[in-house]
Amino acid sequence: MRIILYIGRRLLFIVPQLLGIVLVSFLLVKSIPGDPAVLMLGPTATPDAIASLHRKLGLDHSLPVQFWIYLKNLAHGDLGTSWQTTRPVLEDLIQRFPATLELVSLGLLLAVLIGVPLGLASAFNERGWLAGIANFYGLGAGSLPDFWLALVLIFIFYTTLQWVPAPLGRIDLTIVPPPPVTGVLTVDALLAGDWQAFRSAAGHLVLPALTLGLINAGPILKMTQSSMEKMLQSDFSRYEVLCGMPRRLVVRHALRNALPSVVTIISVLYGFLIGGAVLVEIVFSWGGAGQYAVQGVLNSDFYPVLGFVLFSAIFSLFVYLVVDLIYFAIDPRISH
Amino acid sequence: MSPILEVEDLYKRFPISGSRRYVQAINGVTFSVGAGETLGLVGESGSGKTTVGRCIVGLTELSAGRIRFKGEDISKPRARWPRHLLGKIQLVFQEPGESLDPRMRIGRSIEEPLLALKVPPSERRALVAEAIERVGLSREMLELYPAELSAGQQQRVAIARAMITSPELVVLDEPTSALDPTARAEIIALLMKIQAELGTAYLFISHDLSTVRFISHRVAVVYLGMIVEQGDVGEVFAAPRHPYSAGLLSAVLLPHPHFSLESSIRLEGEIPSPINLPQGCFLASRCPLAIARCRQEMPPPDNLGGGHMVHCFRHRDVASMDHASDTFAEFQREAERILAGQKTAGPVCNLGGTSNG
Ligand SMILES: Nc1ncnc2c1ncn2[C@@H]1O[C@H](COP(=O)(O)OP(=O)(O)OP(=O)(O)O)[C@@H](O)[C@H]1O
Ligand code: SF4
Ligand SMILES: [Mg+2]
Repeated sequence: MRIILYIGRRLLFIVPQLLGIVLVSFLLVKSIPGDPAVLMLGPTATPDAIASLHRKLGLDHSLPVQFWIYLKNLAHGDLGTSWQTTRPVLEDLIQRFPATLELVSLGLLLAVLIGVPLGLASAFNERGWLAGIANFYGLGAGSLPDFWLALVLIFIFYTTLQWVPAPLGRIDLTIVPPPPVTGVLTVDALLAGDWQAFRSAAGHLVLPALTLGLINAGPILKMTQSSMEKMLQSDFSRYEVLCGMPRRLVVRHALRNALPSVVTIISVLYGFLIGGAVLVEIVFSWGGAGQYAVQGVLNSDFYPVLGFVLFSAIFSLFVYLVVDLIYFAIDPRISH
Repeated sequence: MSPILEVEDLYKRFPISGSRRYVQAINGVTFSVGAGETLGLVGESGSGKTTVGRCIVGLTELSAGRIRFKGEDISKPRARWPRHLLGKIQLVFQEPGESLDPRMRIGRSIEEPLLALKVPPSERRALVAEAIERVGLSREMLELYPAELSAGQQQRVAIARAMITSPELVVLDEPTSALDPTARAEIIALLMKIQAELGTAYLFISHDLSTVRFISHRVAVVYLGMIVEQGDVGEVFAAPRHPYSAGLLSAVLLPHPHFSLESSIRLEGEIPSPINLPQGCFLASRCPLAIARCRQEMPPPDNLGGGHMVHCFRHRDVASMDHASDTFAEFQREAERILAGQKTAGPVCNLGGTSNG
């Protein structure tokens, strides 16, 4: 019962949160210099033609009126049209968002698989060799630019070793993509039972996901290590030690208390990576939502940018809600 | 009373990372605690009280010295203690909230020390029930989590957990300083009740002098990792012989308004850093009685009889000074009156507001 009340309250807050996000990003996007009409009509356009296109696009209205019109359309599920793709933004995003989600989710999963065990290992024996690796990794990975690492990985695994397909998109051009169901190619290929498409899609995923995994394992490692150390040095762990409790149990109890901060950093990274993976998307010509939004910013194509912000915001809020529900279920301090 | 705990010439220094120097936290501490006795350990913040307590329970390795418990050497890491000593020395922390695992039910927390002792489950349940009732909490609370309890209740849980192994010595590291005055008085009363029933010895660490006066039989005054004076609590409080003890006592704001303490000993300046310890008496830079000799030599311990020890070249002069010993005597009588009232009328006394840095 309480949990339903809790979800209800959270959902109630989501609407004003989204409104705020849309307003701020609207103002920001509008403040980017550049006139879409000029870009659309090219350098030979007459002032008259530009003015009439402005009227057609609604750009002759004042900013508040433009915002109001955008909101009204939004209420009808109309996110505007991209002048570059000449398609509705909603359609574009439905096609591209799953691509980003697939990449980011797998990347983050790899980051967790690398970061958490290394973080734990280094917290257990602070002076051991694993701790050394972990410290080195924390320093190194934190300072590497992701696109650079992507290029290095491409050089090693594609150019030199030829283990992975060329970094051009999500699937081989010669292979017919599976019929879209979820938009996530690997999943759709499995649903269609198309083994060849799956192999190709998975092969294309390896390097970009590995890049994201290697980079983002850094903060996860650091957080695991520091919160675990903090818990092992807390009075309740010390008490267990002095009672003569087996080390195994002391560690397990410390881990149980360290977990929430690790989950928090993972959820924050998840939301961040939707847009934060854009350089990796560009290097691998991923054609995801981040890349779409950046094209929008560069070409004064407002609606794709706003649509992307909205999608990512909803996604982040959804992730946070799920995390809160997990806490709610596992943490007595919140649920009681 | 034969001592159950003997601490002999204890030293502890902590290396400072990125430097060759050390924090010299404990610099030659010697004392003992008799069975069923309470020794109060008082001193300013940073004087090393917690470190002494941690060395005794085996959480911190000593740099030098010897600790014996009932004649057995325990000045080695906890893991190498004789097994039969497990649970015989217990600890209660200052912050009750932090000493309990937030994700563990109260009942399980209290039970934990028994798990380490491999007590069978049926016996454990009975002992847990007994323990929680001993500290005046209801059995329903065993199902709760620490966050659902008040700080005072949490500290009761910590005491129940400490008492469940029938320890002979409990190190209480400022068990009441995180509590409000009412909870503080209740915890003190509880500790005294438990001691009367079970005969447990306490090492009671505090910088709250009136609480120490109230609960201790003997007191040791720590300054910069050294015990400058120790002895019977009534004697030390009524007639302190070390300038530091006298200064500490005169700085106390007594809870009772008509005790105005005007001691002629005022300590000035800051505590020297434990990284660069001064030569000679550690108090020389702050002591109004300091003479040239104090800056060159460390004053040796002087035995005044009856277990009253003092490290000061001029303790005779301190004794002859007019430092309001009448007021201390009156304070003592008042404390005893409160103590008597405590036993009959429950926790009504005011032990609050007497903190002294
Ligand atoms: N693990 C440690 N590493 C380095 N220095 C330490 C460590 N623990 C304590 N110290 C230092 O040792 C000295 C004594 O500290 P301790 O905590 O024992 O004092 P205390 O009398 O308990 O003070 P308080 O009243 O604040 O609790 C301090 O100078 C402190 O900084
Ligand atoms: S030895 Fe000297 S400096 Fe130290 S306390 Fe006594 S009189 Fe003061
Ligand atoms: Mg302390």
